[in-house]
Amino acid sequence: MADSTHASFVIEDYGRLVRKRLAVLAGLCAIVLAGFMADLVTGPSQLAVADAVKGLFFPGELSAPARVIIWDVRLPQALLAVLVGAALSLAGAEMQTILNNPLASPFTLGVSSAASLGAALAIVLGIGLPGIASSWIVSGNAFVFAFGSVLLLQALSRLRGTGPETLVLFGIAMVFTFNALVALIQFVATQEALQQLVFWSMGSLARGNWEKLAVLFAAIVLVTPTAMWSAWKMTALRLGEDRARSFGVDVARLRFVSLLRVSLLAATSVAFVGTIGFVGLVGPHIARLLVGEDHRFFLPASMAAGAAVMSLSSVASKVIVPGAVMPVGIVTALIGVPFFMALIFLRRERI
Amino acid sequence: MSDTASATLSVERLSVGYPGRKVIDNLSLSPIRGGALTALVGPNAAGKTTLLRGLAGLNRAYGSIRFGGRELVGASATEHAAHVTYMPQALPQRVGLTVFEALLGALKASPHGRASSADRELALETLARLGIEQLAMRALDELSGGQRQMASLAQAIARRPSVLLLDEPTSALDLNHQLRVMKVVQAIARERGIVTILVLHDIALACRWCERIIVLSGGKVFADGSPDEAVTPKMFSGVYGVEARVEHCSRGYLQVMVDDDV
Repeated sequence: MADSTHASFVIEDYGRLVRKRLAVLAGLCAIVLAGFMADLVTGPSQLAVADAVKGLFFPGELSAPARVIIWDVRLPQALLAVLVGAALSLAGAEMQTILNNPLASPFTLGVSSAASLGAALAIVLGIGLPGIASSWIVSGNAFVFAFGSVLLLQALSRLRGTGPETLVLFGIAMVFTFNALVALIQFVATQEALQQLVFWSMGSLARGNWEKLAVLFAAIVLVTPTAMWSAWKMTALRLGEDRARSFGVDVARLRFVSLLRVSLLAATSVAFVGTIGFVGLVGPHIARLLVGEDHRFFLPASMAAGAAVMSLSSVASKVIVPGAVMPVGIVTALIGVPFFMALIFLRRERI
Repeated sequence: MSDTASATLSVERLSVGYPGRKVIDNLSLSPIRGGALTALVGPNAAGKTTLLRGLAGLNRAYGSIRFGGRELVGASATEHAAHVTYMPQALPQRVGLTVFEALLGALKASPHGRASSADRELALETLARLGIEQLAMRALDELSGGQRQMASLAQAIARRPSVLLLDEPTSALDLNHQLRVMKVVQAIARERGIVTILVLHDIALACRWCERIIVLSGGKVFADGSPDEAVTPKMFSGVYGVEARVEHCSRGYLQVMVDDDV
């Protein structure tokens, strides 16, 4: 047996590693907060930074128009950016782990395409769910289709009784199928409906309101604790499916429950903001580079990284073209990709 | 030392396979005792891994696997995991975990009553036992194949199973590490009375360390017994299709010399 001095070093080193990961997580949260504040104080309407901050804490001291801008436009949008980023990124992180595929995300496996199909049906053909208020018909359709697409994925993979590779292939097949169906609907759409649909697909935070925020917030609050509960199981799954099963992880069940969480998070997000795909892929990768894959840190870090990317993208969407707000889906990809590439190359140099 | 010291693993009329293809058909073994090493040898595609996977509950098995009075065929994954740990041959790739984190993941994958500090102690103790505590904070991805195999073995041992199934645990190891692993595994098996079955390709290594050798060929038991009983020229020609001499060396261990194919 090795001498106990070396032994105690290992435990100490591990304690230091845990503290470091917590510090990185806190740093990410600070970036989210900074991005959120920046998001709040930027916008096409000329509102002084001081006024914007003051309006947050003392709404009574602001003029009525300024109060409306802060409380009914900027705050819901800024909060929506944080929540959507966190939700899509958590969904992507779980997918990448349970499917053992670094390319898995709600976007790459058809959830966003399914949402687009639902939205297209509502916008172009006016087909919606019975009993849904007309103001919610697009979101409602998008949600049902996105949620349904993940359930379909589950069902198909159970049918063949096969592993994660088949699930990924099914997902990719669904992307093409749904995209083809959306194209078909676009082909028969009127000019006006087509324009509306294209704009929807680009993804926008401008659709944020307090009701939608409450729904998305509820979904996240419902899902996150159960995901964290499975954190060790998912960490073990990273060591290989056979190994995890031999360690007593019911992998089939973990995959099923996890995909349910993913469908709820992804469907709610894309239903409200349209297809903002990139963040679900890149958020987990940023988190992985920063804190590794101990899922106790990886899952929350993914949420924070996703929220930060969305907040900063939202800021960028407002300042790139002065006086205009670009659709945030476009900006997320345009700004996020170079940033992501840089991170990968920096990482490689260090090794 | 423990109450599992007397527990044996018995296999009766066991069939294991994949959908539409039985690899192991109606296989029975005399009870495998704990406290010593049992080697599972045989040519490629003999069904060695399938048998281990069946014993580990990873593949659907029919027949009977009894351990210490418990029937494991049809037992839940949790119950299986409480007794049996399987170390697969494949090593994890592209994983963002350190050796120590991975080991904690292995310990905490299924619920148990231990405190986190006890898990950390147990993880450390296992690394020290294998002599790889200096790798604790290294990322799994940075390690060599042999080092990753040691880390993988640590995960299996740390769970303190009553039945330990190791699929080619020494395939990536140099001579020194092979020796170290066999020594440690034998010592642990003795101390804790563990039923330990290892798939090995190196028959001399099996003869040196294992009390019992089961030779599998085409999903059937070709020979089963002590090294002297199981490892014979007849076995080599019948199972591997090679002409080989089996002789005792000056220290009394069996040595295998392969001369030609038959």
